Amino acid sequence: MRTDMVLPALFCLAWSFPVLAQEAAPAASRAAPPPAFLDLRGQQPIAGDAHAGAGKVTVCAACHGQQGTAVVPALANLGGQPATYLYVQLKAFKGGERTDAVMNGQAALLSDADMRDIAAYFAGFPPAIHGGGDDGSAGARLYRDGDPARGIPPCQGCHGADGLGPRPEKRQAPQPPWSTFPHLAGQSVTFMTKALGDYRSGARAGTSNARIMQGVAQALTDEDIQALGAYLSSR
Amino acid sequence: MRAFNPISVAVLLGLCVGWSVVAAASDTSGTMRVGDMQYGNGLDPRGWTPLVDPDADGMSWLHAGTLRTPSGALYPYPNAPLGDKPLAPGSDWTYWGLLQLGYIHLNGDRNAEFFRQYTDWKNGAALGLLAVGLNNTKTGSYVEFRGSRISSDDQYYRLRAGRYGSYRVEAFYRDIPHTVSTAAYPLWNGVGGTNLTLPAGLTPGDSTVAAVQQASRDAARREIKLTRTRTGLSVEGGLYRNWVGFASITNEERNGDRLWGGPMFFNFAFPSTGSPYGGNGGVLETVRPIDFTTTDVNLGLRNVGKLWHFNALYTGSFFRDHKDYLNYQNPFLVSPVVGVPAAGLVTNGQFSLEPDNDYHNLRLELSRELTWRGELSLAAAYGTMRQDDDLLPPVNCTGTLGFSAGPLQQLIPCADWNTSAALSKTSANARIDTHLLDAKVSFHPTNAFAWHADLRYYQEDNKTRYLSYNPITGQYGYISENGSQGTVVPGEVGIFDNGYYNTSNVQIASIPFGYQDTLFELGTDWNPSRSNTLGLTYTYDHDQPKHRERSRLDEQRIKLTWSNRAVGRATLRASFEYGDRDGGKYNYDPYLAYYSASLPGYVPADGIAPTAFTVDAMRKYDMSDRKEAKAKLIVLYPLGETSTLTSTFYGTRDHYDAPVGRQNTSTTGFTASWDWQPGPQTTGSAYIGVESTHLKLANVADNEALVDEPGGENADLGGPFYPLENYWHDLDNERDYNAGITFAHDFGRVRLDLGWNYTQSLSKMNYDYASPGALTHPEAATPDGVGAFPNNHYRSSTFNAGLTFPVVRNVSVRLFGSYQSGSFLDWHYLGFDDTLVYDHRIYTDEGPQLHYSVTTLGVMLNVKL
Amino acid sequence: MRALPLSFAVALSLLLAMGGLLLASRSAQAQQPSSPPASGSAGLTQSDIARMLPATDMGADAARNADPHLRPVNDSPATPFDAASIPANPLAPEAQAVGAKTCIACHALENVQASHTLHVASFRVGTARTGPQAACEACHGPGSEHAKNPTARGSIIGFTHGADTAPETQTTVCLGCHAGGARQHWLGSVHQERGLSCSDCHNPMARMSPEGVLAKPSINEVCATCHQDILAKFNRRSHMPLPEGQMACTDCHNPHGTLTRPLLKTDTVNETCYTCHAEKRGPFLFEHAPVRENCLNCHDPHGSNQQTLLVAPLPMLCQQCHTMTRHPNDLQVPTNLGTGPTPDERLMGRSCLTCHANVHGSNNPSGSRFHK
Repeated sequence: MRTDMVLPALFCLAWSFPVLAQEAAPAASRAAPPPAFLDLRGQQPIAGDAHAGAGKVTVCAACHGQQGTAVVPALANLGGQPATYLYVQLKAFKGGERTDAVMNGQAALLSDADMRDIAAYFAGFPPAIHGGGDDGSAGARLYRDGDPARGIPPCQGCHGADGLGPRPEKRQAPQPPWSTFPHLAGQSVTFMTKALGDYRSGARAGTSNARIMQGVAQALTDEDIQALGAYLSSR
Repeated sequence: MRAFNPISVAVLLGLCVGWSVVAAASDTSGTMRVGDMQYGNGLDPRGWTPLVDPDADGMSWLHAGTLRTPSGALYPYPNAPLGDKPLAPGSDWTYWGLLQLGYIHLNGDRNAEFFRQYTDWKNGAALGLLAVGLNNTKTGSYVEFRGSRISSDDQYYRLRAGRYGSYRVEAFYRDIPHTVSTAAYPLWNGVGGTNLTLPAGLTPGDSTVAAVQQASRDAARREIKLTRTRTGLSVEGGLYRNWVGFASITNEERNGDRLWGGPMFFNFAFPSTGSPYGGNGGVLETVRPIDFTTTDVNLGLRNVGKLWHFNALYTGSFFRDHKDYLNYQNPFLVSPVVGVPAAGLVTNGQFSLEPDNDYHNLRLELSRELTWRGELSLAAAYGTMRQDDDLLPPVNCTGTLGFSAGPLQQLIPCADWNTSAALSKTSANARIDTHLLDAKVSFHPTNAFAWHADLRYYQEDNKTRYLSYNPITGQYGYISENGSQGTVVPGEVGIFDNGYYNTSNVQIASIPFGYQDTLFELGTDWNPSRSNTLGLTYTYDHDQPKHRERSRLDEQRIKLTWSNRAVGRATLRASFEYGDRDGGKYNYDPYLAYYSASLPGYVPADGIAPTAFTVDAMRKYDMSDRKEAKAKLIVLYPLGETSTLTSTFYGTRDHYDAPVGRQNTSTTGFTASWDWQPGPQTTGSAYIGVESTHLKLANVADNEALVDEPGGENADLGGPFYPLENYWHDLDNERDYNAGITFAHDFGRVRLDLGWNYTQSLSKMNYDYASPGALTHPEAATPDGVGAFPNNHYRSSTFNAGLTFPVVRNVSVRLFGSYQSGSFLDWHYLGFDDTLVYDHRIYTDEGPQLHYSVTTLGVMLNVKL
Repeated sequence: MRALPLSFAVALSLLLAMGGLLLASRSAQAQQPSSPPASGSAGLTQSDIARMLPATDMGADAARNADPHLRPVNDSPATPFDAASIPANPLAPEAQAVGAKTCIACHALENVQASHTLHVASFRVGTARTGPQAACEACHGPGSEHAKNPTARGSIIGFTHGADTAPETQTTVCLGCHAGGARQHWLGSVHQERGLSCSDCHNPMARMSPEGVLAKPSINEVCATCHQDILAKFNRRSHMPLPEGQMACTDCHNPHGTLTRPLLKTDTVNETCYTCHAEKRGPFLFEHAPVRENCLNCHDPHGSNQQTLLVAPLPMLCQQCHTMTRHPNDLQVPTNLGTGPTPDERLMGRSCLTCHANVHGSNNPSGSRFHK
C-alpha cells in the first residue's frame, strides 16, 4: 500500500498540469480589476447639514427642483427621500457604481460633506405625493402582493405599504440598510420605467442594493413596470 | 493489508445484491455508528481547511455580516464557490476540485514523543488535500473524494457517491499512527514478535546486574508505536417506500508494539546484599507485539412514518489477535529466601495476549407519536461477546523450579504444568451476554409544560466459568509469576492441595462479575416565560452487582436546569445536579468462595485463621456511599454584530464515605473565548481556560510482621494488623491552563493566518502519614509526617503562521511554518535518563523528552482543478 | 470465524424484513396526510407546492411494479421528500406559500450560497425545470406575510438568533424529513431539553463543512461552541487523537440523542470503547471487576495529565481500591523513585502495570492476578 499511494498523487499532479497551462495564459493574477461595486450592507444612517446643503444645490435644483420636485418627469423626485438614500446614490454616482451621463460628472465634483449636506437638504422637504392611486389596479396589486406564481415579491416589503419607506420593527438579527431604501410614492412613470428597466437589464447593478433589485426586477414585464409606475406616480 | 474477513464480505455482498430495489433515503446513519466520522490529520485536522476561503460577497445582499445560531454563535462566512465546471461540453455533470501538494521539512527535535504522538511527520513530499466533487444537477447524483497523505502511516482517502435522497455508497482507506514512545531501549532481541530473548552476553536466570546494565546501555533506541490501518465500505439507501437500510463493513489492521511487563517476583523486598547478582526477583518492562485484525459489520433498517418510527441495528465485531502470547527471558538470578540454592534457574516468563473474540449486538427501537405531542419510545437490545481461545499451559518453564530445604520440599516440576493436560479445560469458552430494555414516554401537553418518564434495564451476565485445577497433579491454583514466587518464598507457589500446600490460600476459580442496573427517570420542563425554561429531573438508579463488595447500590439524583434568553442577547444555560448513592451491606472480602480457603482440606497455618484479605474499612469507589454535586453554566454572549463571547463555569464535588479508599474528588473550571469576524476577509479568536482538580485517598499499610501470625487475621482498621499508626493519605492536585489565539486576514495579494495554542498542566502529589509504619522504608520518614513528590508538569506551545499567495487564477502557493516547544516532567521516569536498570529491574521506556522544540516548514501548491 | 455470524445475519435480515412488513401495513394508514391542503389566494396552493417538490419515489414504484412477484402499487410516494410539505407556522397562520422564485428575487445571494449545499441541491434536483419551487418554504413555512412585511414578528419560520420561532417548531420542521434513524431519540435528549435547535449545529444554507451541513468547518468546532471545557481537555498530555484530526466527538457521541445519558452510540460506555479497543472486549478468563464495569473508572476518554488517559497517577490510582495485605498498601514516597536511595518498582515507570500488565483481564490459566 505504501508506495502505491504515490501513484494517485502523481496522477493528480499530472492531471493538474493541463489546467495550469490553460489558466496561466489568460490571467496573470486573480486581481483583475473588478467592476465597480459599492457595498451598502453596513451603511449606517448619515447626518448632514441641510443649511449648508442649501448653498450647494444650485446646480441640482436646476433639474430636480428647488424643493426636490423634478422639473421633468424623467428625473427623480428627491424631496422627502431618506437622506441616507440620497447620499449613497451620490456616492455611487461619484464612484461610478451607478452610471449616468450627467450625474457622474456632477457628483465627481462633490466632497463627502457636500453629499451629506445636499442629501440632508432634499430630505427635509415633504415628498411630492399626490395621495391618489387606485388600490384595485394591477400596479397596486403587484406593489402590495407581488405575484408568487411569477416569482415577483411584493414591493411593499422594503418600500413601505404606502410607498413612503419601510417601517421595520426592531430586531436583533442583522438588518437590511433600511435607510438606503428609497420612497417610491410620487415618482414619475418615466423615472420608474427607467429605474426598473436598468435593474432588469443589469445596467444598474453596482451596489448591493442594486443586486437585490436586479433579482426583483427579473420577472417584471414591461406591462408590470408600467402598471407599477402608474400606481406609484399617482400615490 | 490483509484481506477482508471472507464471511463478512459475503454478508456485505449479499446485502448489496439485495439492494436491487433502490428507492429513496433521507439522511444517513453516520451518527449511529461508532467511528470514522472525521477524516483529517496533523497537517489539517479539519480535512477541509484549504477549502475554507470566505466569499467576499458574503451570505446575503440584504444585510452585512452573518447570522447567528439560535444560541448566539456566529455562522462563518460562506466559502467562495469552487466553480462547478462542466465535465464535458453538454454534460449534466459538473465538477470541482482542489489539489494541495507540497513539501514539509522538520527541524529540531522531530522525534519528540509529544510532537509525534498522533502524527507521523516526515521530511518530504506530502499531499495536503485532494478534494474532488462531481455533481449531476439533473439526476442528483454525486461523487466526492477527499484524500491526504503525510506518510505511509498517516494518510486517508475517502470516496462517497450516490444520489440525493436515494442511496449512498462510501469507501475509505486510512492509516492512523500512534506513537507511544520515541525513547525506548528494549534490551531483548525479537521485539515486535512473541519471543523476547536475551542478547548475547546475558545468561537467562543467571546474569550479573552489571551485565544487564551493559546490555541496557547497548540496546538501540527505538520507537514504540502502532498504526491502525482501516478500510471500509458502506452502502445506504431506500429499500422500499419508507424503508431505509444500510450495511457497512470496516476492517482494521492494528500493527506495532506497546510497552508491557514481565514479573519475576518483587525486587523491592530484597535489597542487594552486594553480590554481583544483585538482590532477588525480577521486574521487567518488556515490549509486546500488536497484531490485530478487527472486522466490524453494521446493518441497519429503519422505517420512518408519520406515527411510527422503527429502527433496527445489528453490530457484529470480530477481533482476531495474530499473536497469542508473549514469551520473554529473564536475566536475573531468582533465589530462595531460605538460603538454599534454587532447584533451577527461573528463565522464562509468559503472558497470554488478548484472545480472539466475536461480538454481536442487535437492537430494535420503536417509537410512536402520541396525543399531547407525546411519544412512546421502546428499545431492546441483546448483545453477546464470546471467545473460546485455546488456553496456554499454566507455565512455559522446563525442568524443575523451586527449592528443597529440609521440610520445605517446594519443588515445581515444570512438566506437570507446562502442558495443556495441566488444565481443567483446554479452551476459555468465555461469554458475556448483555440485555437492554428501555421504555420512555414524553408529553408536551402545552407549550409551557412537558414531562417524561424513562425506565431502563440493563444486564450483563458473565457466563465464563473456570476452575484452576490441574488433573495431572490433583492440585488447585496456579503457578505464580512463572514459578518465581515459589522459587523465592516458602509456601507461595500459588498451589493448593491437601498435602504440602494445605495452608495455601490462593484463587482457584474465575469470578463471573456482572451486574443488572435498573434506572427510572422522571422529568419535567416548564417555561414560565418565552425566554426561560426550567427543568427538573429525578433519577433513581438501582444497581445489583454480582460477586462484588455490595449486592445492591442505590443512587438518587436530582437535576435542575435553567435556560434563559432574556439577558440582553445572551443565551445562558445552567444546570445543577445532586446525587446521593448508598447501598446494601459492604462486604470487604466477597471473594472467599473463589479462594482455596473455601475448599475442604484447607488448614490454617499453625492453626491461625487466614491472613486478612484487606482492611475492613476499605470502600472501593465504585461501590462506596457517595454524595455528588455538579454545576455548570454556559453563556453565549453576542458582542456587537461581529463577535461572540462564550464562557463556561463548571464544578464537580464528590464525597465518598470511605475511611480507606478514595475520599473525595473535585473539579472547578472556567473557560472563555472570543470569536470575531468583522468581515469575510478577517477572522480572529482568543480563548483561555483554567481547570483545577483534586483527588484525595486514604490507605493503611498492614503490619507485615503479623502475616501468618496471630493478629494477622484481624481486618479492623485500628486493629493490630491495620493499626492507625500506618494510616496515610495521598492528595493529588492538578491545574491546567490553556490559551489560544487565531487570526486570519486576506490582504488581497496574500492571505495571512496566524495561530498560537498553549497548554500547561501542573500536578502535585502530596501525602501525609500517621507514622513511619506507613512506609516500606521507615528510615525515609520525615518528622512532620508530610511530604510531596516533585511537581509534574506538561507544557506545550505551538505557534503557526501561513501565507497564501495567488500565482495565477486557479493556482496559489501556501508557505507555512509552525514552531512547537514543550517541557515535561513526570517523576515516574526520574533517573531513567541515567540508567534503565535498577538492581533486578529493567525499564525500557526512558519516558517523554523533558524539553523539545520542533520547527515545521512547508510549501504547498494549491491548484483549483 | 465460525459459521455463526453468517447464519445470524441471515436470520436477522429475515426477522427484520418480517417485522417491517408487519409494521408497514399499519403505518401506511397513519401516513395519509391528515390536514386538507390550504387554498391560496396567491394562486399557489399547498398541493401545488407539494407537486412541485422533487419526485419523491425516485423510481421506487416503477421498480416495484416491474417486479412480477410484487403487488403493483401507485399510491403514496416514498421517502423522504414526501414529508416535505410546507410546514405550518403557528405565528403566521394566515400566510400563504409564494414559491422559491419569489423568495430568491430578494434573497439572490442566499440562493447562490445555498445551492452549494447538498441540502438545497437535493431539493433542486426534482424541480430543475418546473416553475416556482417550494424549496425555501419547505423549511421556512409559507412566505407571503414575510414578503409583505419582512420584520413582522414570527412572519416566517426562522432558525437563527432572535427568531421568534420556538425551538420546538424549528426542530419539528427538520424532523419532518429527518425523523428516526440517528434521531430516533431526539425527544428527551439533553440537547432537546436544553432548547437547542438543529441550526445550533447545522447550517444548510451554505457549505461550510466537508459534510453534515454543519455550522462550523468541522464537527469538533461545532461541539466546542458550547463544550469548550471538554475540548480543552484534549490539549493534555494524553488524549484521543482529536486535535490531530483523526477523531470527532461524533465518533463516540450521537448529539441527536441516544439511549445513554452521555449520548453514547452504544448500550454502555464500555461497548463504545470496545469498538476501537476490541481486544479489551474479551471476555477474559480472569476479569478485573472495575474494568468490565466501566472504563471510566480509571480513564478519562477526553484527556488526562497521566499516561494512557488515567484519572490519577500510578500507583495511587490502584491504591484507591487495593489496600490488600502486603505490597499494595504501602505509602510510596519520593525516596522510592529512580533517583532515590530505595528505588521501588511499585512506583517507577509503569508502576503496578510492570507486573500486572494484563490489567484489563487475563486469558492465562495462571493470570488471576493479571501478571500472566
